Amino acid sequence: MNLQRVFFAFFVLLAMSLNYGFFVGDMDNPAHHSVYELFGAVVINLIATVLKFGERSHIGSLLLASSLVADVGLLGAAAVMGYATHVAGNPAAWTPLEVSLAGGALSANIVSVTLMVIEASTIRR
Amino acid sequence: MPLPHLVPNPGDHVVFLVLRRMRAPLIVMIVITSISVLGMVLIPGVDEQGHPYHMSFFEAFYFVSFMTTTIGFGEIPHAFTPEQRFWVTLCIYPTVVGWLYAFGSILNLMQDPAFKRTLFHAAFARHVRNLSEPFCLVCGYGATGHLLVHRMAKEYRQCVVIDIDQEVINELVMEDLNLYVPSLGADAAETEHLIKAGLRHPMCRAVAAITNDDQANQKIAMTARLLHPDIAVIARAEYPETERNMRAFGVHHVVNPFATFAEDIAEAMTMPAHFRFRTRLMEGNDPESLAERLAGLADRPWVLCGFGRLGQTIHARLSEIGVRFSVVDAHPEINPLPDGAIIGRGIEEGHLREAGIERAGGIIAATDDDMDNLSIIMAARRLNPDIFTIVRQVQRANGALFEAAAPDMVMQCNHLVARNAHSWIATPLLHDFADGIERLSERTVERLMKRIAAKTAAETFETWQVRLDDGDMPAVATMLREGKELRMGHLLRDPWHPDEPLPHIVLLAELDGREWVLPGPSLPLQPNMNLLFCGRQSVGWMAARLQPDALAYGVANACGDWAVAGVSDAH
Repeated sequence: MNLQRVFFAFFVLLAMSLNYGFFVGDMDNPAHHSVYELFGAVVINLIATVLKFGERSHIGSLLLASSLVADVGLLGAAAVMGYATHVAGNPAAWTPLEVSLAGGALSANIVSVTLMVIEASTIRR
Repeated sequence: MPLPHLVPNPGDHVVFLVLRRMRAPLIVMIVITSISVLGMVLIPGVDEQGHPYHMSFFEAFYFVSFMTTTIGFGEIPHAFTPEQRFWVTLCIYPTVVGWLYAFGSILNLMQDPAFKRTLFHAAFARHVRNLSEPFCLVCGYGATGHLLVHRMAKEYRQCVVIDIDQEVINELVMEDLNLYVPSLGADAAETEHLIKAGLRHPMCRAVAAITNDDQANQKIAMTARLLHPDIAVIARAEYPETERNMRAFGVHHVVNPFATFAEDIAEAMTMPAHFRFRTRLMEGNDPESLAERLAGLADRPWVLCGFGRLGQTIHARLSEIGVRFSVVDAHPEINPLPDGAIIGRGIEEGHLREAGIERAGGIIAATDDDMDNLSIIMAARRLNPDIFTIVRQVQRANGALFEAAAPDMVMQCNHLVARNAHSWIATPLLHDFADGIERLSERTVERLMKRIAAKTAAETFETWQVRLDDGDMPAVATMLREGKELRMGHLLRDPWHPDEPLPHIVLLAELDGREWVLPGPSLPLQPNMNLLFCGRQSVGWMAARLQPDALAYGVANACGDWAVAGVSDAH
């Protein structure tokens, strides 16, 4: 067992699960989409991205790319939420956009986890 | 199956390394910032009216951002409660430290020499890729490269420079050249660096391998021959073995400074006018008195001090034309001395007397030590004040000493290699021309020189080569394409004043391997002909080159029997 790998897999999976946790629920019901969960998803996604820095392998670059896509989606959702609350003033109307952005990020996170599993399965024992 | 585009190029390696080393500081910063933000959101506050108030993530992030970066706008949006102030006090120190740590390390990594070099190499390669004019790749920026690049830049010819020593590249960047010369501090003997410097670039016209290392020159020349067979390769070789290897590999122009110098002296002694003319064409100056004095000394005995590579080459070449030498050398165990050679450094008056310095016409100080060489000619002059002195200068930095000693002739490898490399790159026809005039008599060459001197002052004298195509001579190329008949004479007269000759003469015309030495005015011009001129590049010449109207006027109003159609060419 390699502690570094546990660490890495933990953050990649946690990023996906938090992202899913925020995404799941009615599209237009703000009560189903907690801002705390989005915050967690953003932070964990950023950490997962940084952990992927500097991988030279082909799969490593795909992992980094998928993580960057997830970051774009989640930071977009967070920015929309901040704008809706403080500038536009009607947070409920913007919820579907936030959720769909998070959904896009989720798809990138799923790719990321799949790639990680593929990479793990290619290692010969 | 290999996927070439997926193989990271070697420079990427450093970028990955830098990214990898940025992991820890970035994670520290993200974690500390996010904990602070979360705390600010969770801890309740009050607004001005005393109502309970929770910061949103947006407000918390805003506050933490300016707290972390030590900007500190204050307690926004409402004055904090003691609980909030407790949390902020706890957060201030770790966040500031985390921020400074992260940015400090990132800035530090940016300063990493390997990282900077990678970025610099990438910028250099991009610049070379984007070159859109013909250029010459110069490998080695020592004294020789310096002379060559400066001369090329003066003529607005683009160069790209590689040198193994980053110091000299830094100097090059600071130098005031007419055009921007991309330069790379890397080992030119490595193929990868040569390719980066544009060896395979379609605009690369020539490679000059002129480092001070014969092995490196040989490797560069061979790489160039293999990777870009169409371009001219000029290589410096100081050992006969390197020269043989290079020639066997098909290197076009091998410059051996010792052989070149021996050839110069031999020519000055046997054919002074030819020597003067060739020097004039290659360097612009006319060594008239030098040639005259040397020519008179061919049948006098000479003293040769130093029998290394230069001494041996001079001895072999000048013995062929009947010059007699007394050789003085201090290293009989290394150098194969001829019979009757005197063992000694040549500084001692006794040895020089023994070599017959009083009766000698000239002395050649050819050791590889500048101080010894200067001492030799000083001693020789004491014993024979009229002696002709030829001295080898090894270090360019000693130039002032040699100037003060004022020998009759100085042999500098750098100077000779740069001169020959320049003429091979800029005016390759000049060498054909020099071969072509060998059979002309001294008097003919002297008359030719007088003709040129009458046309051009020495300061504005130039030798140049053009090709009759759209790039070099658009006006001529256009007229030839339209089927008009043009003759050499049209390029020798001012197109706007067809009765006035221009201040230059044509030396050689070449087309597909056929050559016309000193062609007459009736020679018909043909597309893609290469022409060699010398004299001054005047306004009239520029008009004939570039302005179709001017040239058409000149052709229509040309007078002289050569201009009449049907006259056959003179040579």
